[in-house]
Amino acid sequence: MKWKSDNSDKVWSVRLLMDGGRASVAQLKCGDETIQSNITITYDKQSDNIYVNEDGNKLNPKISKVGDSWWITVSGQTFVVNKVLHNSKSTIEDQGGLTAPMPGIVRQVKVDIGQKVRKGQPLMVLEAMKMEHQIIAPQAGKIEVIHYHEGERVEMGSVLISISE
Amino acid sequence: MEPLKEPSVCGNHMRPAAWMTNSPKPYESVLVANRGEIAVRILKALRECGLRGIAIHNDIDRDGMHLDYADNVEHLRGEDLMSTYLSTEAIINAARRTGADAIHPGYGFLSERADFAKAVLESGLIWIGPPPEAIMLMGDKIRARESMIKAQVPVIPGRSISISDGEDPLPQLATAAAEVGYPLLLKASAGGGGKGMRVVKEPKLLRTEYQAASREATAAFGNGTVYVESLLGGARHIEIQIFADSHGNVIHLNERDCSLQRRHQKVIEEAPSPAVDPELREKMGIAAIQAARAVNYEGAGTVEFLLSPQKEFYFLEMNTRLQVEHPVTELVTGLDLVHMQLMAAAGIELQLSQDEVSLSGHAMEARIYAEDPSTGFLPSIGPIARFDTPVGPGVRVDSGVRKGDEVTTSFDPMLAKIIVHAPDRDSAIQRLDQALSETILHGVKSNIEFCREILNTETFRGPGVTTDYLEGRPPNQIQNEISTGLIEIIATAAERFGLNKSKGALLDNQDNHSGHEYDPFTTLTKRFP
Repeated sequence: MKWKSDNSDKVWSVRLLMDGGRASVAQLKCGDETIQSNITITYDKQSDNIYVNEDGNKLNPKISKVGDSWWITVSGQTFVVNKVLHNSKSTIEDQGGLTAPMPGIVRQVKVDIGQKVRKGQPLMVLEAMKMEHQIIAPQAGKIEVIHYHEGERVEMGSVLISISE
Repeated sequence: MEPLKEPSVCGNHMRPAAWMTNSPKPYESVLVANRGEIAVRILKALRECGLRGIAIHNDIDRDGMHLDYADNVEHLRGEDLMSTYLSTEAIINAARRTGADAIHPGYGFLSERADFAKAVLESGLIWIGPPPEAIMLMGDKIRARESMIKAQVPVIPGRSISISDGEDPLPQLATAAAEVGYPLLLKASAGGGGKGMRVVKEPKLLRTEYQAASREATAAFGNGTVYVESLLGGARHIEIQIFADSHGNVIHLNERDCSLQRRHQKVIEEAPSPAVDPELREKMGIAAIQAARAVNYEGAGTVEFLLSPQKEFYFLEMNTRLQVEHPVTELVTGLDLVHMQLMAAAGIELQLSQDEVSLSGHAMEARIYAEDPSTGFLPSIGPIARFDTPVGPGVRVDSGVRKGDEVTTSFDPMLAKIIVHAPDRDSAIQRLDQALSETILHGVKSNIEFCREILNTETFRGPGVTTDYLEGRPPNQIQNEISTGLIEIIATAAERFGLNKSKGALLDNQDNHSGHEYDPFTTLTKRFP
C-alpha cells in the first residue's frame, strides 16, 4: 500500500507479511529506496487496537480512520497518513487554477476577467468563521475565469480563479 | 468562602433552590443564549445551583453537546446565525415559549449587544449580565476611551475617525495615522475578539487594511466604524477580572496574563502574570475598579490593559461579559464566577470583600482551536473521530464537543479549553504540557502540538511572552520522524487488520465499508456546506 503523510512530500510503500494477529514488514520503500525495518505489529481483537514492537520498544498508537486517511498519534504527535490512489496524478494547480484553502464565503473579488495581474496581487477575499483570508496570485498572468462571485459559498479545494501565463 | 448559602439544596430540580427563594429578585429557570463549551459550562452551573436550564440550537447543531446538559431544549429554526443565535426576537420568543425567567448570554453572540440586553429586560426577563448602558458605553470603544480618561484610567494614545457614507476614508485616516505614528492598530469601534482589528506597519497598506477591518467589523458587529491606535511594542496583555453587585460593591479578582496571542486571538492564558508583582496588581486592580464604577457596572467583567516593558499600563477595553479564560481566575481564587453571576442577577450582595480574595498557586489555560498550523492556521473542519481529554489532579477541561460531532465553519473554531492548576508557574507549565500530550483529537487538525511547542520555548518558560511573540513565528512544520516509515507501517497494518471497523469508523462512500449498521457517522447530516 502507498501512503503520503500530510506535511511530507515522501511517498512510502509498505508490504506486510501477515501471520494471524501478527504482521511484519516484507518490504518498505520510500520513493524508490528500499529500507530495512524490524518493526512488528500485533493486533488485539478484543480492544481493536494494534501494538508496535521495534527492537524491543513497545508503542501503543492511537488510531482512527477518517475517509481514506488514518489519523495516528504516537508519542504525543499526531500524523495524518493518506492512501495514495494510482489514478490521482493531475492536480488542480497543474491547470493554472487557484483553489480555496478552506471552505467559506467569497467576500470580495478584486479582479476582472482579462485583467493582467502581478505575482502577489490580492485577487479575492474569502471569509470563514468571521475571519478574512486573502487569495493571492501565485504568479503573474491574465485572469481567464472567475469561478465564484461575491456572496457565494466555496468548498475547500474549489477552483476559484484560473490564471494563464 | 462559600459562594452559596445553602449548598445542600443544590442540584434538586424539583423545587427552587433555597438561596434563590430568599433573594431580592428570585428566578427559577434560565435560557442560555449560546452553544459550545460556554453553554455547557453555564448549564452545568445552573443544575448545581438548583435552577432549570434551557438550551437553544439551530438547524445545524441539533446534536450540540450543550443540549445534553439542559432541562429543556428549544429549536430555533434556521441555519444561519443571524436568524438564530444572533436573533433577539428568536431568542426572546424561545424564552417565552419555555417559560424562562432569565437569560444568560455566555460570551460572543449577543453577550455584548446592549440592544439585546435591553430587549431582554423590556420583555420582563432577568438579564444575567451588566446594565445595557454599561454594555453600550464599553462597546463603543471611542466613548469608552473618553469615559476612562474622565475616570483617570490611563489610555493608549489614539484617534477616532468617523467616515460618512460614500466618503473616501483615506484623507482622514492618513491624518489620524500620522498623528498616532506607525506601526498602528486599526480597531473596529464595536470590535472584540480580534475581529475587525488590523495592524498597519506602513502608510501604503492603510487603505487595504482599513477596508478589511471595516468589512470584518460590519460582518461581525453590523457597524464598520474604525479607530486608530498606537501599537505598543513589547507589551503584555494583562486583564483584571472584576465583579460588582447591585449594592455598589466592586472587587477585583486579580489579573490574567493573556499575552500569548495569534492575530489578536488569545491562545494561552495564565494567572498570576509573571510580570505583575503585588504592588502592580493592587494598582491595576484599583484602576479596573475605577473603570467599572465609572460605568455603574454590575456582574462579571474584565478590564483589559496593555502593560509596557516599563510596567506602565494602559486601558485597552472592557469586556462586559464572562470571558473565555475565566476558569484561570476560578482556579487561583477558588471562586465560581458563574455562580456569582447567578447570585448577582438575583440581587444578592457580594459574599466577599476585597481582602478575602485569595490568590493561590498558578493556573494556565490552552485553547484548542480547529485550525491547521501547517497551512498558516486556516480553519480545519471534519468529523471528530476521536477526542481524548486529560484527567488528573489540577486538570480541568471545558469542552463543547465530543466524538461524533462535526466541526464546520458555521461556528467558532474554539473547541475546548484545557486548564491546569499547580503550586507555581513552572509546575503549571509542566502540568499543562502533560495534559496537552494526553489530549488526542482525530478528524480535525488542531493547535495542540503548537501549544506544546510554545510551552517548551525558553521565552515562555522564562520571563513569559509579549503580545507580538507569535507574529511571524512559523510553527515547526517538520514533524519529527519518529522512526522512518513507522507511521506508514502502522497505517498499512491498520488497513490490513481492519481496525475501527467494528466500532464504526468514519467512512465516506467506500465500497466494502458503506452502510455499516452501527456506524454513527453515516447519519451525520451536518456536512459543510
